[in-house]
Amino acid sequence: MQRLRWVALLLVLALVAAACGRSDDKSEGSSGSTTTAGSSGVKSADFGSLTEVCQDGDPSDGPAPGVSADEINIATFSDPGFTGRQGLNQELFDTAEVFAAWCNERGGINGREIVVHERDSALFNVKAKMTEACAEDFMMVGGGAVFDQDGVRTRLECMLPDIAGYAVSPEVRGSDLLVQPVPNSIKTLPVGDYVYLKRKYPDAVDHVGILTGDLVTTKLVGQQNKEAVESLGFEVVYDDVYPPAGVTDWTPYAQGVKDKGVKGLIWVGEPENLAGLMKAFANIGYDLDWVRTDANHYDQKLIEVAGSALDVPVLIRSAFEPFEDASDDNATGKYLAAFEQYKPDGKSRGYLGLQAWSAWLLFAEAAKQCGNNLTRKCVMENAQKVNEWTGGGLHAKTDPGSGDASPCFALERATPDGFKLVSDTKPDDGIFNCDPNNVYTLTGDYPSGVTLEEVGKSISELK
Amino acid sequence: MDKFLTFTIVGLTLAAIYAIIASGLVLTYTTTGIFNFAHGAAGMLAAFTYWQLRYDWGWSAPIALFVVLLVLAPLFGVLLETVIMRGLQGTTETVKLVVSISLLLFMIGLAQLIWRPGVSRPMPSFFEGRTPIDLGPTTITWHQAITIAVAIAVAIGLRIFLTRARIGIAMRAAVDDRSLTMLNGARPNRVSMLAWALGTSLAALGGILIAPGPGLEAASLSLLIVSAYAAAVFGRLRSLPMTFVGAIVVGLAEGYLAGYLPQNQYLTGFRIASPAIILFIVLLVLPNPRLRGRMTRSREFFPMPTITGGLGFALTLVVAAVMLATTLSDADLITYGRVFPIGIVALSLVPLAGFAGQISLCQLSFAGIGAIVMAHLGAGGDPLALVWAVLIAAAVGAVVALPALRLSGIYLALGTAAFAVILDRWVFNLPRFEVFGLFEVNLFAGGSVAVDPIRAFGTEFDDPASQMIIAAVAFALVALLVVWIRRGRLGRRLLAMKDSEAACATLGLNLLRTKLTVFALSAGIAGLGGALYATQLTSVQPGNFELVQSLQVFALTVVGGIGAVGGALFAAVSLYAFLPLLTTLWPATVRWVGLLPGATGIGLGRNPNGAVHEIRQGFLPLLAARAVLTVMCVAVTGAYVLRLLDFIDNWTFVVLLIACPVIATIAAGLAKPRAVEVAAGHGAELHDVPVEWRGIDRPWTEADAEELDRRLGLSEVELRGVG
Repeated sequence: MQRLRWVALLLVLALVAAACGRSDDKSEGSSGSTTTAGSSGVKSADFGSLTEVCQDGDPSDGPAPGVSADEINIATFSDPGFTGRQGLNQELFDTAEVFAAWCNERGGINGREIVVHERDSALFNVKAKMTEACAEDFMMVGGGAVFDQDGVRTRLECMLPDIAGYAVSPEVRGSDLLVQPVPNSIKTLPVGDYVYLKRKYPDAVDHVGILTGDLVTTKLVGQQNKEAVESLGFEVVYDDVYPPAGVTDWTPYAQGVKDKGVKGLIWVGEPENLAGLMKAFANIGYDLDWVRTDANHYDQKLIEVAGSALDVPVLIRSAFEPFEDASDDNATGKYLAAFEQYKPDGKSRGYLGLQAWSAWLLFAEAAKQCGNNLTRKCVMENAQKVNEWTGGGLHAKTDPGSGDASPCFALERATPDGFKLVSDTKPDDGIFNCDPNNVYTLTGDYPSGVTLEEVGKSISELK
Repeated sequence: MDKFLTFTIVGLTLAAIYAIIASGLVLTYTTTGIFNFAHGAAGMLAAFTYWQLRYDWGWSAPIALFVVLLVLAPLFGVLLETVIMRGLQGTTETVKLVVSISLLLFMIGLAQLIWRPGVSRPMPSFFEGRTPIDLGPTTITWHQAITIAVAIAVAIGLRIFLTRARIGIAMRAAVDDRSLTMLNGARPNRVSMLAWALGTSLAALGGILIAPGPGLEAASLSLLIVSAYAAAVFGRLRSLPMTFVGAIVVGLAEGYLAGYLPQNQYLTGFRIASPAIILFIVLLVLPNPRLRGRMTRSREFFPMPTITGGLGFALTLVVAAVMLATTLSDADLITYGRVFPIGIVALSLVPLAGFAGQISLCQLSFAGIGAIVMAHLGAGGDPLALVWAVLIAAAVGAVVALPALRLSGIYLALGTAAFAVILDRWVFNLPRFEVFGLFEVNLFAGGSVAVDPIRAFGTEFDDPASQMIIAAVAFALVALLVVWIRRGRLGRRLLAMKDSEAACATLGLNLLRTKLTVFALSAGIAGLGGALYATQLTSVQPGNFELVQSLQVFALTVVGGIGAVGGALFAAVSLYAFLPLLTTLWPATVRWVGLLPGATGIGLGRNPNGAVHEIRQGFLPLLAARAVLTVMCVAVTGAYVLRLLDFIDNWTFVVLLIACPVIATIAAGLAKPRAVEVAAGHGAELHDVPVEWRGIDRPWTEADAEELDRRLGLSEVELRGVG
């Protein structure tokens, strides 16, 4: 009784306290302001191949919403507050904090300090957080939300540009006012890895299977991959989905693949489930020629769980410089060193964090060219002019300006002893194979991105 | 042939795990009459604990198994029985169910608190890496073989225990006739404790055996084990041999479905939902015996709502919504505006579960149907789509009710839960299809659908403030409808049916019609809530209408008070205002927040009338003192005007808002102590109304019920149970 009364009291308090949201408190957790801008010391602001990423300056006025004489308010989205999976994609916030701290210590953007507003959309609250970002922030940088389609219209209505850490839904991937440092295009698909597999494993060409997690976004990726490999002459003999929440026993799926005589398997999902499937293959004694999957499988979980079941080639397509090659003088090493200095317990070793860091670099590069007159229009125009981008050497060449898929790829093979770079992919640019024929233009009928026109706006309104 | 054998082995392995888990469930259900929804979660916790001991701390497997299965799990079972379950005697089926659902939510929250999600926790199967045993055409892994062997051992062990061991026989005796067993000198409480210890151990065993497959993930592991419930239902929650048969049927069915179901885009979800489909079929096909547990008299008490009270509640709510809509920022309105549509969904439970005693765990699925209708028929903002949302949801509700009519209590709860899973795993994910070539159905368009804002009276309700007010007005109207039903003929019929279906049938009440009516009504209300929810969200996807959310809404409505409209508001406010607010104000609490809905529900056993009842009691003195009430209203209005004119900021406004009712309540208490007592029912003796005239000459209160019991010589213990 007593306790229930307390709960009831708390609830009454909560209901009325909700009214306080309007007061301009900084409960969002502005971070990264460990040092004030303008105190640039002897530290180098170079990052990999990029020079003077951040710099001192003598800013005045606030030329745009979210920008003042000494601050730039930036929104970074992620979902770590989702109670069902706490800490989901925390690396986006970690990266934002580390970059802001790193950059502010080197003078900020022309002397303006980066203030990160962490917009935690907790999966289902994207629209509300987007409304907040619209009211307070200059731009969105280095973030992403699992259900990002919920916020894209709101974002376009308030003309908020986004240099995204990642984009999931086709509505966002193809939307206006969006620049992706490593484009996840809805019109083009990188297929260099399939070209390689066709050459290397000719026997498997007529026996390809696709197994996809049963989520809207992964199913779309699965369909697009199917279209692409069929255009390359592969024959898809197996196409199925699995429940992403987990499978009690992977044997039926392994058996299904075996029944169809599949020799090469395209997997669209996440690492722990793939590990379960690989173990089932080992148990029924079925050896595939190859398993191909995406960069999110560059994850220690895959190796820890699957262990010795990784004897068959499990190949991960990646456009990033591997962490194994990080050194003091390359970009990957600098990225890790920044984490070590500003947030040692942050989650650094993941491609999502690298990609977000690349987004921040792209933003800093585009913003610094605007000088004192920092406007959304200026930043977007500068970012969209970039047609060759490596994030200072974090990843293969990409084309953020056009938003098309990059032709460059490398393959990492997951083995029981760790990830190993596949060497016979005919690399022509560092470790990457960048043959222009590695990009396939999709022809199927897929959902398209949200445009400014759809929400009754036009690009001329971008100030 | 080797394919058939492979899938037979897969099926038998599943069957073995289900048998182990289901037999534990049956043991606890038969001895205490509580269907433990959290049984699977106990297995999940055990799997995590085993992983911790075995792989994180590096204990050897036999020691870790011993500690988990024979020490920790039994202790946990005993703890559950003595601290929580024993206090549930004398409560309704609904309350028991909510306590065990809350326990499920709590355990998932607890696991996520201790073992942070998103971290890799590889859990190898037993003897992983060892060459599988060759059976000629196919192979069987050591883990599979061990699982099947363990299940056989459990079957034999339970058989010997229940027929040879003295305490085992006492257990069976307690199941047959608790009072008679007590008369013969056995101690049923000890028997219950033992049953829970044994049951939890079996759940733990099942959890450890199943976990290497799907991996350690708290929520999905707890819910995967749901398939075991179908096996238990097969054994009618009573017979262990039949439960084992059921487990084999369910396990093999799942195995063969996985192997032989054709690959096609309409059936992918079917396979994923197949455990729920099997459960649904088992529930419908097998005859359900009368449920155990003769209810003598429930501790629940919901006073009859008055018309003025209902009007006052509705008016206060709309005024409060207008105040919020004019003072909150848009972002906050989007976050907290969901309170009202979800509140309407929770309201749909009041007539169904509160009045009629029919448990439904699929109200959010009906809301999902309302949302789909709104998305497709409401294109362009046609307000008529709201009507369609209500009608179509109601029609689906009636269709679901038809087969569900013969289910009651826990079976109905399981059936509706299965229905919810079938919808959110399969039906809602269907791609576009045609119905007999007549028209096209595109549900969620295989992903998410956009919903247009409502256009009516020449305006477009496209901003969060107006949407919040619309939803609040709708909530107020539905609340009035529910009050009106409660006071009318239908309400009396529903209450009568809740008390005794047999008596109602004897008196000539058409049970079929009454049940259909209340199911359709409730589904319609939920559909309305879903439609309004959809307009607020602007795009909806199946994930917005999942079983877990239904469970939360159901549990918290019961915590608030399922028999009153206030209970619905309580649930919505807790889930969609209180919890988000807590994490906004103190981001560090996010890891603890997962525990809250469960924790409040578990406390319900102590107070089955719900929290709203308590709150109402607190405000009674204020309502009785009209003068003070008027002053308070003026003060609140004044504060609101000051806020609108920007003389004060939001924080000051809030402080004033809280201060006004608090001061007013204290003032009212000081001013008219006697009126307070009368209002609270404690002044009954002062008026000296004879017991038999109470409730007629003046309103019936809880105090009268106690007085009546006292005069009739019914002892407190007997009525209140042991807790």
